[in-house]
Amino acid sequence: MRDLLGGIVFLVFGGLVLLFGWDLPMGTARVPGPGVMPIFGGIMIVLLSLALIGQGLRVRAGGEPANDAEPANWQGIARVALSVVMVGLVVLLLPLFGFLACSVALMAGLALLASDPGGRLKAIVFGALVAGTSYLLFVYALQVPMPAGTFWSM
Amino acid sequence: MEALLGGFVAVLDPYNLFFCFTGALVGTLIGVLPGLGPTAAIAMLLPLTMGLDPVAAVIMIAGIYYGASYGGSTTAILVNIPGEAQSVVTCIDGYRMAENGRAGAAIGISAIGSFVAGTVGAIGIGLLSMPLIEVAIAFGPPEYFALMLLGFVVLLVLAKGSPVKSLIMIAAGLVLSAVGQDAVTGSSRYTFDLPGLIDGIGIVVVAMGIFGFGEVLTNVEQMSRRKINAVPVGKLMPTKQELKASAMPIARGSVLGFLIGLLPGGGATLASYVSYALEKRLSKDPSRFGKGAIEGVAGPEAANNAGAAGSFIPLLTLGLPGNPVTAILLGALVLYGFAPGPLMIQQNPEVFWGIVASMYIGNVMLLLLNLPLIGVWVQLLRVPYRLLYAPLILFMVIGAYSVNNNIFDVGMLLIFGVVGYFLRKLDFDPAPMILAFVLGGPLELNLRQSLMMSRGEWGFFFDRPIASAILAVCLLLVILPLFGTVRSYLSGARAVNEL
Repeated sequence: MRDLLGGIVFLVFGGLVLLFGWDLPMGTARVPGPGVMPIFGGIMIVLLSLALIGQGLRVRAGGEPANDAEPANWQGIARVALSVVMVGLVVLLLPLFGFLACSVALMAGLALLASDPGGRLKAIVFGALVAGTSYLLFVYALQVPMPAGTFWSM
Repeated sequence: MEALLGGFVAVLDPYNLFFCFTGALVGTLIGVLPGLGPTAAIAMLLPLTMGLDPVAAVIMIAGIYYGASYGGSTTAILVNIPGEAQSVVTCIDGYRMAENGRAGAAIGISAIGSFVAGTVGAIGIGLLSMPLIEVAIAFGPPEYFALMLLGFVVLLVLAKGSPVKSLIMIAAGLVLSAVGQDAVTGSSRYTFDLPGLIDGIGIVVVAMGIFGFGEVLTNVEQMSRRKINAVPVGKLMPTKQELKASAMPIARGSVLGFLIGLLPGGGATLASYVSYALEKRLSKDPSRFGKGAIEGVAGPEAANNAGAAGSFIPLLTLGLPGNPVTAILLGALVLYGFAPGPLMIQQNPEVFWGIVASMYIGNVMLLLLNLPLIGVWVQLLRVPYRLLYAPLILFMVIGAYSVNNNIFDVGMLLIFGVVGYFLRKLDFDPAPMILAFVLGGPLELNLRQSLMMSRGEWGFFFDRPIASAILAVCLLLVILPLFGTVRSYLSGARAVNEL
């Protein structure tokens, strides 16, 4: 199952590499152009992922248990997905709201994600504490120029 | 010799010593966390070193590496969770020793073994690099191209798991390295008109994303399933008998580990596996292994440290990394403006010998600093992971931002974190990818320069004896496994690798 899925993912990736790299000049044997390596890499990925898909299909047809992975841990996967979404939001909102506000929200959010339903207040306090400490450490003491946020100066 | 002393002078400078110390300390801090090993620690902490004087930065990275390796062993012994592949073996007998009430002795012997191995490694680098550099000075683009090719072939021969997947990872790494302006013609490749991609994808975000963020995400998924029961540590000093039993395994592990470290794809992990298998084979009573044999901790712990030292030789003399740690270090050195390779020892002797000396000093520091602090590390193990991962993520966001003061890099961190998470889920080992990513640029450049030198004649490679010898070895390594006997021997070696 993993081979099959991995093969499909990389087949798509290899296809995209070739699609967007097709216009790159290949040059001549004497002076190879910038297209040689990406196109070579893309072709390799496509061929190898086809081999991987073949391998995956053979294993499946061989009657071996198709699901070689442990049962999906949906709660865990949801936590991963939400963590990714939250960091994604920080990427989008950091220039607007600045480091302090974004980090308080991110830390509280991530802590909420991991806490029991009863520990919500604790999670928010924890988040604020972590964000405040890192603000003092990085922005104040180490002078890392994190964005202050354009929203607050409006 | 004089030059090595110069390196020690550089490291013992209070400013550098402070950063070596800080590196070892924060490295241990990350390494102790279950599921995070040296590669993750270096990747995460790389931005911290950015503002420093380059020599101090490199010394600090070496400190982080040693600290994280040591922290990983502690966690392996006390809670049976390896931080990274290189401490998997330590879990086997180390945790059993801990269950038998000898946790302290296991941690103690691993520190002693690492120290001895670090000493052997530093001397080995001193002895081996000069002759290698003399050979390497004569290397031109064709030789470098052939060497890199050999590196990838050896990597594939030794690779864990499916060779098809490893090859895909190599190809993907090469493609990623092509992003940005082409070094020869200046034309843009895969930049999608994004200004952040013109200089290519940064090593920091790729390494931090795949090895740091991706690893944290994997841990986030398993968070609630993991129960951590740390065993009490007890006395750190091994008994006389234990020391006697460990002496030879440490000596063997140091030498063996160092030699394995020289191989591409070698380094700390493979060294520890091979040492464990060797000690088991040499033991009078192999059945003790797996039940708390101190030799099974002493040998591999020495070997992984010596392997780490050995893997620095191809990096420092040829500029060719053989494993993810040295690949990240190469990326870092280039960022600081150094070009690892045969000329570095002349152009920047203080960096070359500073790294060698810092390996040694880093080990001394661990002995002096971390053994007394063991109580603190155990306390840290008791902190639930759910309280740790949020600050780790924030730390990486700040780190990615601070590289170029650019939010684009944080986005890239996120993307590569997700990529790293899925690669682990789908059983792809990201190590060959990061190697190909770092080596892709030089590989392409050397090939193109070779072809320009030869006016497009591929036969040119065979007019150069060193290049053709290396290419012949590559061919041999590809053909040999097709024969049955070699294949069965190799699959035996792979089984050791996957032990």
